[in-house]
Amino acid sequence: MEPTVITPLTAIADAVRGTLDADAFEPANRRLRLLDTIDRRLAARGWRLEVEPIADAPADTWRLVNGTGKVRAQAQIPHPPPRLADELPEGPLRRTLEPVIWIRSLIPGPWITVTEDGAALRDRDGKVRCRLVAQTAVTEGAGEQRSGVRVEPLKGYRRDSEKIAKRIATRFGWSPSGPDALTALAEALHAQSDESDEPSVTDAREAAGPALRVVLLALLDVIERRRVGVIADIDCEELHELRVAIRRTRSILSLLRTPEPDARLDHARETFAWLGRVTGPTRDLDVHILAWRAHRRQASAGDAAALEPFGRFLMDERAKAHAALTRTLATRRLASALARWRRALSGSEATWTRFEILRRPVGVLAGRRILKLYRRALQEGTGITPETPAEALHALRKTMKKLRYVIEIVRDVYPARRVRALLRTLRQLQQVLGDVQDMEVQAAALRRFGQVMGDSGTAGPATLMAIGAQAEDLEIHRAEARARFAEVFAPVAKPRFGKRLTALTRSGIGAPE
Amino acid sequence: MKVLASYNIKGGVGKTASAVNLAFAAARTGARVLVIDLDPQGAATFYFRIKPKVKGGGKGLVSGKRDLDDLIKGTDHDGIDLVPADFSFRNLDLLLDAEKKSKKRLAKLLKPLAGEYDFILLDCPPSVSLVSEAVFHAADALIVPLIPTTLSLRTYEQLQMFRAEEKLANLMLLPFFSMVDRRKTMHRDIVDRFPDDHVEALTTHIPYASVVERMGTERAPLGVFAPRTAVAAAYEALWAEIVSRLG
Repeated sequence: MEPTVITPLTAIADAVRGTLDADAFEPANRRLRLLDTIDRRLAARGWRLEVEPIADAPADTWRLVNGTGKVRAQAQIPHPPPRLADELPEGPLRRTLEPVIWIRSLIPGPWITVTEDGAALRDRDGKVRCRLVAQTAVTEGAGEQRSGVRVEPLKGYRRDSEKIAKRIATRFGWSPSGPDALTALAEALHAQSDESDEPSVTDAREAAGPALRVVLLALLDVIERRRVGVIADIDCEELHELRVAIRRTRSILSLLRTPEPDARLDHARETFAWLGRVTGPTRDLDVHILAWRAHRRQASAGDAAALEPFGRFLMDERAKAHAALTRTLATRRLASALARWRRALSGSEATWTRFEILRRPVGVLAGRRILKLYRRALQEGTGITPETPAEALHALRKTMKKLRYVIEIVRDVYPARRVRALLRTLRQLQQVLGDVQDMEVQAAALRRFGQVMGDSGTAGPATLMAIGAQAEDLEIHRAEARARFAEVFAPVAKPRFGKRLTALTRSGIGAPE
Repeated sequence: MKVLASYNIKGGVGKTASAVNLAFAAARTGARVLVIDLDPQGAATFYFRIKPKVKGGGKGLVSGKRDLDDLIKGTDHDGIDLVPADFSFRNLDLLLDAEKKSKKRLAKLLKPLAGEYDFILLDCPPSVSLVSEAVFHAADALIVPLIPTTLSLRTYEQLQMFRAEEKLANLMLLPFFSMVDRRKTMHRDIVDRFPDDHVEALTTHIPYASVVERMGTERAPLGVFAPRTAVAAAYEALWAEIVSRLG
């Protein structure tokens, strides 16, 4: 039960302190904002990241706090505030945040006014044994208010805090163990983004048309949501997720082969193929920027400085591409195409689901497609030798992507452990195929960018050399990935893998495995 | 996680005051710090108002039978925890001697704390013993407070020789002057000349100040009760310099 703080904290402290002395501290007001990634990575860990302006200084104090109120890391961060972990200055805060938020941006919530009132409970030596803190947090604008009282334990003195909490429960009838006001607000930050991006069919025996209609609707929601995120330029993962939802949609559309053409499905195929194409250039630049960041992290201080003009060039190019993409995503053409697709998926107008072929169980339809794509992948992969041109690997990569997406559409109807194991093996192969192609494309792009920068005089010799070194790095990684192909393809090509895949496709529809 | 030890063969040079105030300066920058009071006199423990008592005593600590994490106490200051001293630490040498690979024992005990803390500060007793050898093997750097006197400089030379004999080339030595009174000619001369022969010397000096003695009555780091004094600022600057040296 959340306490309503009517009793003054000093009175609570006095009533529960026992033999300890209650030493009240001055009530304090703070104004701060909370940050989290849009997919709430910090809240998922029970952490909150507070950003509090420093008076008369162009900087803020960033404080990473865990669920018990303990500060995990803290730093003074100059303006403008960074959005990505690798833009933070070196130190404990960056080291703690980097593995958790990965490449996602930190997005601020609204301003919050926090009032804290408290007492330190001290023993005879004056040592603090625990603290009693009352906190009220009010969100500006929305006026949302949370308040709570917590007992802050100190390491090695847990018994004291437990005793105090117990006394509060006995005396006042509420427990101070819930999350404090700020933690409660942090848990609610960006909460609207919790819906799944990976909808899946849940019953393999259900007719394919209606079952896939539901998944397509959920994917359309993802596309609409991510479209807004891309326009707002939240971070590069928004665009990536948008493209994944588009590819999943296209993958389902390829399953919906009707005996006679259906204008609504054909229109959707065209729309999503087009949307895939127009989102490509910005995504490519996002990937270049990620590679540039990764390369800069590993470079010496001198090389990292030489890489800066290249980073600025990439960011400028990306800004141009993103502006063009934003215009496209905001067009009436797209809005009406998506609205039309939504109508085509709505219950009354989804007549395409009644085709005989789409009345068959979705598990059967997807199973056939999975096995067909697997056979194609085997054929394409078996002939690949170290001398085979890269195009053959690219073709195999496309087939593997299609295979993975179809499996993911029906993933939930299969035994989780078995599907996970198969996907893991496929993912290893895909990773290598992806590296071979991406590194090659990126290295070629880097040389092209270097040429453009050299011609326009925006890069000096040091920068051009640093770009060359990055391209060489990519070539080395590509060669390493190419050498690993046989090793990661072998487990997929084993007859045992084929048997497991066949058994999996049958497991959801009650057919003998 | 970096392990630093406040160490000097000589006593009364400001080892404990340095360990406590540097820990406070580090925590103010947001770092998570653990102070381990290895000195049986327990002055650091006293400054943090914690009882000088460790469950299982020195034996429990050294044998590894007790999880070091269970011995840690939270101080009154955000970001600073402490493993208190215990009077049984006077026998730490003997206890270490009874263990296998005694010199590497402390390093092994500290290893599991790597995810919990950014810095561990060892407040060492003034001696050359098995305890100090174990400290040298566990530490990334020795922070060596020196008072600007000939005798104090001599002990630093002894320390350098010891490090060479023990082949501890990776152990960084970070000497700095404490209790500097620039009104004294000898202090001025020594402080100014020392860096000529010791490039490793830290350039920040801690001035002599009577307020440091008040740490005993206030039982708190200077930053708590005298944050605006020159000596408190000097400890903050010293910490910044140490961090930049650690790289």
